[in-house]
Amino acid sequence: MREFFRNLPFKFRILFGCLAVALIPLLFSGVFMVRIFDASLRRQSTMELTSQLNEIQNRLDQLFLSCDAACLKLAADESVYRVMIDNTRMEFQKDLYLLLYQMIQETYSYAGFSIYDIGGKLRFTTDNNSTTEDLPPHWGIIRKASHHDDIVYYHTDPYLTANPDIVLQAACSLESRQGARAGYIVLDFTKDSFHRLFSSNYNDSDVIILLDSLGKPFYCSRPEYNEADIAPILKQAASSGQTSGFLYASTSNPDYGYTAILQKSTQISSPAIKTMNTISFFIALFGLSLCLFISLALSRGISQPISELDLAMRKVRDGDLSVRIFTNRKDELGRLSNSFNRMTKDLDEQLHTAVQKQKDLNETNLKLYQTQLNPHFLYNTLDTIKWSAKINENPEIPVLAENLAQILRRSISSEPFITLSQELETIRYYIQIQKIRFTGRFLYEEEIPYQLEDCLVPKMILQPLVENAILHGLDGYEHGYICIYATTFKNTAGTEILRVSVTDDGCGINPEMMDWINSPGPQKRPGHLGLYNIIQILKLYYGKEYGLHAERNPEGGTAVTISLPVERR
Amino acid sequence: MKRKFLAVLLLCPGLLTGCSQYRTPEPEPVIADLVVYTYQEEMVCSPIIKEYQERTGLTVQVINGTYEELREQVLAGTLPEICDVVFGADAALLESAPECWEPYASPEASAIANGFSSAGKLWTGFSARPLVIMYNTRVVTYRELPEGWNSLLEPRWHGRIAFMKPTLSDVYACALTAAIHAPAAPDHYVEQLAANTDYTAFDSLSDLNQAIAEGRHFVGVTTEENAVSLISEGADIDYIYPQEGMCVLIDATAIVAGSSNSDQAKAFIDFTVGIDVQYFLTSAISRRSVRTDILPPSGLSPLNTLSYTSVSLQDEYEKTIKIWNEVFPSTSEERK
Repeated sequence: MREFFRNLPFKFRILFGCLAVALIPLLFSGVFMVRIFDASLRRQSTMELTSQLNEIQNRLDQLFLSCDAACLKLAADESVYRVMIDNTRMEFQKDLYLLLYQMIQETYSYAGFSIYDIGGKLRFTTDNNSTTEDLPPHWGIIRKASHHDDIVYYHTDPYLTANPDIVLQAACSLESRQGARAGYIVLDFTKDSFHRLFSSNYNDSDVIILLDSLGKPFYCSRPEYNEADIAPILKQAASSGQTSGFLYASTSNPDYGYTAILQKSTQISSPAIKTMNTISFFIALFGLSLCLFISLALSRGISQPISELDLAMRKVRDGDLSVRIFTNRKDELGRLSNSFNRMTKDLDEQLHTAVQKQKDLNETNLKLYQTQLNPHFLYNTLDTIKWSAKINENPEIPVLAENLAQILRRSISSEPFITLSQELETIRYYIQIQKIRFTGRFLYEEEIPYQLEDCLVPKMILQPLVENAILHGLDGYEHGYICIYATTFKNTAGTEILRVSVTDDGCGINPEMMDWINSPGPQKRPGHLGLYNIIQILKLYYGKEYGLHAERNPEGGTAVTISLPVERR
Repeated sequence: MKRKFLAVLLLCPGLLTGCSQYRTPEPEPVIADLVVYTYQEEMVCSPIIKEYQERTGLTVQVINGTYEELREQVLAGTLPEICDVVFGADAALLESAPECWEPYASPEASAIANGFSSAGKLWTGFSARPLVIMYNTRVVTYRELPEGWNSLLEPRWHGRIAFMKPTLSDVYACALTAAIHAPAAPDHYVEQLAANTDYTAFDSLSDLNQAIAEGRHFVGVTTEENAVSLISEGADIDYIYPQEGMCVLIDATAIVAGSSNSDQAKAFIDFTVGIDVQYFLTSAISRRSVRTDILPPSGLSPLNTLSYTSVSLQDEYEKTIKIWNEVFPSTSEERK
């Protein structure tokens, strides 16, 4: 798993990370919220259900209790027994009705009282619209009452009763003090009785069902419900379950042999819960889309510059230094891109400079080679001049020709670097020529430590300096002095530097010329090709910190110094 | 790491399903002390079963089937799987499969009239239902009253005879068998009857009763009890007992062989032939009792004053149904 995430592209890792951080809390909080909300509502509904059911049971028990009391009072009254034995006297009957109505005042609106004789024949009833017929003495309610001493309750058989509204009957036997049975007091409870009893106890969506001791329903608060409608409610109540939208509870009283079942709709109906679920689903969906959008934007914002950088790096690796990243961001990634741009630009420039340097070197070399062509011919010619002057006995010309020839030979040799002693030898040849030309005008000296004689210098590097000293420095002077000396020292980087100076005691260099020489990159100047070449050669070969330096001596004259790193063969 | 991931994976669906609907546990089925199979009408069996439960405190489960379904169950021999006792079924049907029943002689047997309990103690009679030919008094004048089974073949009733499929009703299985075996019965009685009924047959006895009461059909066969009940409701009908001899349908109760509640079943049989139930039958349902010590419902003659065919015809039921199946479906399909 971890390996899988590691191998994922950076973009997707950010994306998945953002999604996980945003969605998991959303999902969990959503699910928990719905569950806790639902559970608290259910708890509340269950409490209401229980209290409502208790109220129903209280009312039923109260009704049955007062019926019991009325029955027992009637049964205990000797006059009732007397009327049953002797029904011929009208005043007895009147008394009985009076007694009957007195006894049942409390329960009058809920139960009809009737008195049957032992043969099941109806004798008295409080029900004015009575359709009740005689009752079979060995069947149903009368038989049940005959087998019990106290009051019994009986779910009236719908197939046997003449009045289908009567759903429950209660009866107790009417006996004399000696135990002789004279009849039965029978109470009839109709559906309306229970409707009135429960009328304030339930709202339209609730269902109250009463079951007899055999578990058969005898009352349902919804008159339109038939057996098929009631059966599933009984089933749910038996499992004390909760179906969508309904809660069930039941209670029973074995004394009166009934079970009351209450079906109550939950406060939030099933469609409402569904709507809630749908809403939370859409919120989650919205959250997901928003999160996806932001995560995509964020991951693209981070990963795109990085991939651009990655691509640019690859191009640079392939040699394309012209690549640039265009960005207007000001953050860390923007700075990174700008740094990259600067880096490639610097690299490009450096490369360009190096190439140019190489090109310049090649050009200088070419010129050098070209200059080597003529001297051969000149050398041969000089040799001819020398011999012809000897033949003609002119002593100066052979010396001139000889020295010139030596200089030429050295200048056309193929080696670019020679030792300092070799270079000084060349200078000596040149001085001999100049001495013939300017007889007695200057004195030439060398002060070179012998340790430095084998140091390598570019050939013909000193000749232009000596020429300048003679032609310009000592111009007009009769007794000039030219000295070449060399020293070494170590710079801050530890490199040993060789300095060779050509000094004269002449008129001194003019300041403009001195500034030109001492400038870091002097431009080409007509008439000063020699000096320019020396500067170029030193800078190209050894670097910009090396070169030519000119200064005027305070006591007169000029010192021109070349500096270059010490190299030995 | 893998286990943790797995645990989270398992947790998520748990949470999600947690917010779905509360599941309700299935209620455990109530184990009845006695399972009764019957095809008697609700108004007959319901008060009796209720009274039995009231008196004994036992739980009785009632399976309400039909005559046809019971016949199939008996033929297939699958009754022991579904019930302990068969209540109020046609005695002929019970007699046709003696191996299905556990013999039992009720202590009340001495009070039962002859012929209303099984010779082999396989079944005990519950009620007697004589078959009658019922007619609508508005369309059948006193001069043209039907007399017996052969009257049903008379052309004047063509298309006006209400007859029910004997495969669906014990009443008609018995009636048709009695008619075929009547002393003066013509050959091919069933074919002639089918032609006279215009090849139509009812599927329900109550529809048939209704059809005659409303005068859509003129004559038909029904039980004495049905006819009396219709008359008491004010319908314009009357009935005769067939002159060939009255055929009595015996509703009987038998214990299913192999029943696990055999004792309760026996107690139930004793209850059904007890004097209370038998008296209840005659007084509340207007049905004849099988007991000799109980008078028939008011307005009916005692059985012994009428001539009635013995139940020996019952063996012929299957043959009758076979003949019916041969004649009736083919002719009705041809007509279609």
